[in-house]
Amino acid sequence: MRRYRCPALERLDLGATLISDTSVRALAALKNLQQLDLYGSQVSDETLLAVIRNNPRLEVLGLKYCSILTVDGTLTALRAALHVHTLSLRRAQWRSLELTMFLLALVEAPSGTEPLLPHLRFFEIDEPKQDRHALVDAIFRVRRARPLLDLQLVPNNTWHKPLVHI
Amino acid sequence: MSNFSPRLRALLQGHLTHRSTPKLYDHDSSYSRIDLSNTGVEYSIPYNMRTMLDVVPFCHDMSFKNCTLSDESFAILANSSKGQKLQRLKLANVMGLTVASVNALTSFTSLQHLCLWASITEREAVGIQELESLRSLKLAECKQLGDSTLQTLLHHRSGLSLRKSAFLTLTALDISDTKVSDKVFSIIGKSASASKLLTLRMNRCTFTGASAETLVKGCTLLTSLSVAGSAGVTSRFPDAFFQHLPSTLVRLNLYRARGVTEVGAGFIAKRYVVQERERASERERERARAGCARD
Repeated sequence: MRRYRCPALERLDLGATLISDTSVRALAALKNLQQLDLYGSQVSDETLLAVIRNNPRLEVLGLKYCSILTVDGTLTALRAALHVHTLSLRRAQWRSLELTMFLLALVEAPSGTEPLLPHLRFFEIDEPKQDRHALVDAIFRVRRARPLLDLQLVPNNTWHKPLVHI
Repeated sequence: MSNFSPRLRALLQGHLTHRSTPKLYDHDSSYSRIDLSNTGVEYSIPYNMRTMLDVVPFCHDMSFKNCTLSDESFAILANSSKGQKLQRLKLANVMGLTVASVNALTSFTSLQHLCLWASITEREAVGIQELESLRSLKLAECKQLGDSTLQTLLHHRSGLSLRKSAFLTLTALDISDTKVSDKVFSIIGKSASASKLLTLRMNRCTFTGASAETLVKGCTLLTSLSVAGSAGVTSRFPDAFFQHLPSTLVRLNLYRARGVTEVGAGFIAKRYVVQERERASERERERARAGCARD
């Protein structure tokens, strides 16, 4: 008889452990995660998708400083995350245009589909620099289209606030 | 202040220096929880403690975070009828706790949850061992606490027989940021009480592989484990720590744990073959858990 070691695990904070993509991929075998912080992990698009697909009850997801995630990969993975209500994408190594694209996906869904992360209530990104007009405009659009979403623009020098409460 | 009775309001308004007002939490319309933290009231003055006890309604849960207490005022609290009905007492960052005050904790006959966050040293901690019905004990940030306190708690002996001690009833223990060493982690794991622990917080500790293994193996019913900021003695967090995580675990905090390897992290979700012996011990654990729940 085969069994998973921690089948009941619901909250897992791996923030700042700097674990590799292979390790996170191993964790994709867990099935009941509701809160997961991967701050600073080398998680790839494919692994993120696997984790999200295997854990359909995921509600809190921390992706701060996950530097190898691409915007397309993240969008694809998060389309499967139907119950996520709290998300951090601070220090995503994306250009301003890519982050703008991500924000617009929150308000513009392809016809016949739901917008990205329909249950999102808290979302944090870095405070945009002054000259990023398109990004500022996208932030404005998100705030107008989704009034229930608390979109936090965090200044760069702010300490990491754990998302997973244990 | 709107929920306070007119008498209490008048008293508190007259007495407080208003750094913040006390909070009453009305869960069952009997104000079962009272937070007296940061109010600016000098509870070290016996008169203030006595007056507060006179006017506050019956409660189960009292918090004195960042307050100053004296032996005399603590004795007033301990011997009052309200003090004796307290189930939770939070003494976080309290100044002035002495050996006599901690010894007086035995007067709180209903006390089950005690928080002494950053409030006591090794000398005062001796009194904790006399508390025989504690469910949860928080000793985090008591930076002077070392091995001898924990060893005394774990092996509280009177003559030759093992007496009932504080640790035997505990289901939650927090020893984060203390001076407790690797040696004690093994002792916790081997103690009879380890198998009753449901919540264990030991943030910012240093483990060896052997102690981590013994600790985690012993705590067979853990549902919540926090080792944030902890590390192995070498540059690696011991894989053995993850290899024996109990299947009951629901929350795991590894935030800033240093040197977690691929093998170690893999163990958290690893599939393994369950041997017949292991299945038998699991049935045993389930029976014990059912017993704990009934208690």
